[in-house]
Amino acid sequence: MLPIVRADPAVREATPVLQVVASLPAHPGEFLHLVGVDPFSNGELVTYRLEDALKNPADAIAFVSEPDTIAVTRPLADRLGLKVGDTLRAVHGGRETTLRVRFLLEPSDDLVGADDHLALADIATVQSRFQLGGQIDRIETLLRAGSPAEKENLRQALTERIQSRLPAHARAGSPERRGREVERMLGAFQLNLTALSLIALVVGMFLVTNTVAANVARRRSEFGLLRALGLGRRALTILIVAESLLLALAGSILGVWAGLEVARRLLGTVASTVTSHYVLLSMRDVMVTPASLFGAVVAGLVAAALAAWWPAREAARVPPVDALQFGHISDRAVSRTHRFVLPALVSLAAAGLFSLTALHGGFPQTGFLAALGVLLAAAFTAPLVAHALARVRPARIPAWILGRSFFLRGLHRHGLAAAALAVSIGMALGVAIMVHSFRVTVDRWIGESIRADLFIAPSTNLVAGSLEPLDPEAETIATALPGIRAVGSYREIRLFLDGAPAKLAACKLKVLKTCNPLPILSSLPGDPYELCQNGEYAFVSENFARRRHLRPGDTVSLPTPNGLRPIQVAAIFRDYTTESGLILLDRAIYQKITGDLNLTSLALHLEPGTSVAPLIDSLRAQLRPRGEFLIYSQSALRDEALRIFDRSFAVTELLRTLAIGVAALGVTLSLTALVAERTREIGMLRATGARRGQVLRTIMAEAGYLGATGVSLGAVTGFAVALVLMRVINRAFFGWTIDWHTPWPLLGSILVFVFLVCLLAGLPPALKASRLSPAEALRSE
Amino acid sequence: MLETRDLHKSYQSGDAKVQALGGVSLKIFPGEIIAITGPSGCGKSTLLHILGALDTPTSGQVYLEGHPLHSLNDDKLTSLRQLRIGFVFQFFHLLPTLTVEENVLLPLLLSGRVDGVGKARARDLLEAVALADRMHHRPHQLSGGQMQRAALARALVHRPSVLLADEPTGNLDSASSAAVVNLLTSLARREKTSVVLVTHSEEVAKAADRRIRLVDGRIHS
Ligand SMILES: Nc1ncnc2c1ncn2[C@@H]1O[C@H](COP(=O)(O)OP(=O)(O)OP(=O)(O)O)[C@@H](O)[C@H]1O
Ligand SMILES: [Mg+2]
Repeated sequence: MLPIVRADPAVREATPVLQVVASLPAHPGEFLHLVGVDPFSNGELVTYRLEDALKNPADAIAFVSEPDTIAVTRPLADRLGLKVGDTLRAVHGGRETTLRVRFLLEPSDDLVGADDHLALADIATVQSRFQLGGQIDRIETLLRAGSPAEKENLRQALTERIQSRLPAHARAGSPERRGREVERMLGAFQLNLTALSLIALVVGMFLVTNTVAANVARRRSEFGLLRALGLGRRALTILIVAESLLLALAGSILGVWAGLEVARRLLGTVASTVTSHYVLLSMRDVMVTPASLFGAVVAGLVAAALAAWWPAREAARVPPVDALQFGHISDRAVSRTHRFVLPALVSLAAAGLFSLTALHGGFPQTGFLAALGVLLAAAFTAPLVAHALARVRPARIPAWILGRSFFLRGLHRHGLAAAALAVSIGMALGVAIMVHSFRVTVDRWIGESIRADLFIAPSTNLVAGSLEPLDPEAETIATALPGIRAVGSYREIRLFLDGAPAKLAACKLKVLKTCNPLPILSSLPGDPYELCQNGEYAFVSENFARRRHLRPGDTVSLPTPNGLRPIQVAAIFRDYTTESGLILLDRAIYQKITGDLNLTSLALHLEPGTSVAPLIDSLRAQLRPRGEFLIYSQSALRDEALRIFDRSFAVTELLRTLAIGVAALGVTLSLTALVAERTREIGMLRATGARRGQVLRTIMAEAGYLGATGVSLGAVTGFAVALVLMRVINRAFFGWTIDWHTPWPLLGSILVFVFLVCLLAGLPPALKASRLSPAEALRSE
Repeated sequence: MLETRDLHKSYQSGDAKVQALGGVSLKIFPGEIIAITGPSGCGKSTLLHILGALDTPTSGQVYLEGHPLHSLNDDKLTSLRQLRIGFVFQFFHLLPTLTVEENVLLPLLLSGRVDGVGKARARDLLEAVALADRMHHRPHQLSGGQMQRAALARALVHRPSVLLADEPTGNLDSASSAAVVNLLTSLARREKTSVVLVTHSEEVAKAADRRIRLVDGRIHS
């Protein structure tokens, strides 16, 4: 292939690259991301900055002529205690070899996307050391071209020319395309995080509205005076919004700073989630572009402006005379709840509509709009629920009676706080239900679909999340062990079908059928296992079928070194191992059509009564000389799977806590503002004989009503959000069916917890109210 | 029965010390109606707050039926307010989400004494202030004068021995103002409650048995 590419008139230079992941037996847990390059043709492409390491021609010659020379990064060398000249044992594909460190690579920003584990070697070194023959992964090319437009044209022409001559499992494309594919996989992960942070922003907006409204109410007479002095309505609105923007600017900058701090702390968690799910990735530091920082600040400002606009306009609308007079506007709010019914219904209808477009319209992203619609509907319903709850009339407890009275009067403020609470709780519960359901579904699925007793895989596959081939000897060793009923062997590769990633797996279907039948959802008439063993048929996973609209009997075109091969879908089965979808072939068929004889992992089924522990020991002993292997028992595998699962969703827990915290702050703000507004009234109560404790309990009762509103509405919202997350978003994006499992104890404890947090949030304003001196309170204006 | 001896009250505002009361001694007898007048800032509200156990003097003594208000803690003062003191304010301060009747019952509610007797008492007072037909209404459905009459009923419902009113007519037109003052004095006489009435209005002050004029925190007669 290389000569063809080099001979193309559009190509100025082309260089081959071979990348492998090698584990280091002497350093458990460490690995090399070994890249084989051709230093002569690589020169101008500068894929990796070799020239810093190879300062003179003699070095370059050593690099290619000595068959074991590699360059490793200085941080890795420091960590492993390696010096120039030291040797290093490395294992890849079951083959162990010794490499000699001759050069150190300085970590620099030029090595974009690189990390400590990068190691460079001559491509021939990699090929020969690991017995990979003439294998290469890709050819990087440099085009002869001047302007970017010209380049783009050339690139397209070249891509077409080359693609037609490439084996079907190779693809031609621009370098960004590689990046894009990784991005696509990361996209789903990012989508989850983005959606959650947007909700935090929405909750934040409620807070801003509430604060500005409180502030405006406090300064009514001041604004009245400005209006009386001739300030126009619009000018006053702008004044208030501008003031909020100033505060928002400070807040956004502070938020960005805090965000970066948190990001640094979270880096490890996120990196390992991404690695265990998607691609080999290790992160050294938070990478934030100035543009995204700027974007965050702008988002904060826009949100603040939107949130401040409404109360500002309300304030500007008050006639100056009213504003100058003492008294409350708030009493109006009590009777105005009905006006929220229509917006609530509209939001709900929009949510339904967006669910349909997400599921059937080909716009999965609108699933998030559906979730937003549900949350908005909840927000609009908050005043109604507050009213309904306030129908609960206490009999004789004075603080309760007064608290209820205060709550009803404070609805103009509490409505927003309750909405923010309901939205956060709804989000928290929705995610909790989804995660729990998902976990139970996966757990059950593991239980029913993974029946083998032991699993063996090369250890690099855990470290790097990659799919390195297994030493074929391992299968022979395993089969020869006593007490083995059957050995299922698996080959897994990642590939692209019609531009979307997918996973292709092959195994001995006969073993699978007898020892570990698949959870089949639908199939062609007859035995699908028989079909797949005897012809070009495949099992495909549910999400694969759903995404590509496949039914049993349809065909999939599989890229092979000999061109596209149509494979018929024999059956669809449930699978949660990969979100890109899985195609499962019989091993013999797979080897016939691809010529790939490698294995990725083994599944051992034991005779009944065989004990696992001694077996693991003897396997370890026999496999040790052949490199590092992961040997899992069934329960360990299950634990590992659930551990990865839990780690992936750990971040959502943090965001949940954050959203609830922000909403609780809303409770404090709302009550603080109301206590300030009612200072004189509290003075009256004290004059009329209310004790400090009664005032305290009154405000706490008010906080209780507020919390109860948020919690009860949030509980219902949570189920609606879970419905959208599970039945719309997950289905539209990943094609997974998640069985519904409600984590009642968890939901109950979240709700109780949030209610207690609301009471706690009410404590500062309640204490403040109870400590007011009655004389001062009556005097205050 | 309500007596002050050489009352002083000063406030610290920043570095400056403001003297609101500079030695007030007075005696108010059971059933007596007293009007306190004087220019703005002369200390009328301050005096009223100390008489009503809402505030304590910097020095000097106050005795309400023998209880030394100047040396009691907040809790004891609150108990005294619950049993013996009623207040009427310039801005009524009715709770808008409670009915008129519930507002009137508030002092009994706070001291846990709402019962049949209390309700009958509230009804009786609402009849006296001509609001019996409005007792299930909300305050915002009443006029200013009606609100102040409801507040008056609230101030008397627990049979206080003294009624303190700080400019009760300050927010009313002259007709409602006269009606409120008439009701206030006639009810006070009926209940044998002493009244201390702070007012700017000569008209209102005339209804009192005795007038005290405060100037710069001292009695000026
Ligand atoms: N908390 C305070 N801090 C400082 N000074 C105060 C405070 N409360 C009252 N004063 C001062 O005490 C003096 C008496 O105030 P007070 O409210 O008793 O007057 P007033 O006679 O009721 O006036 P008005 O007729 O305007 O109601 C005033 O000079 C006032 O400024
Ligand atoms: Mg005053």
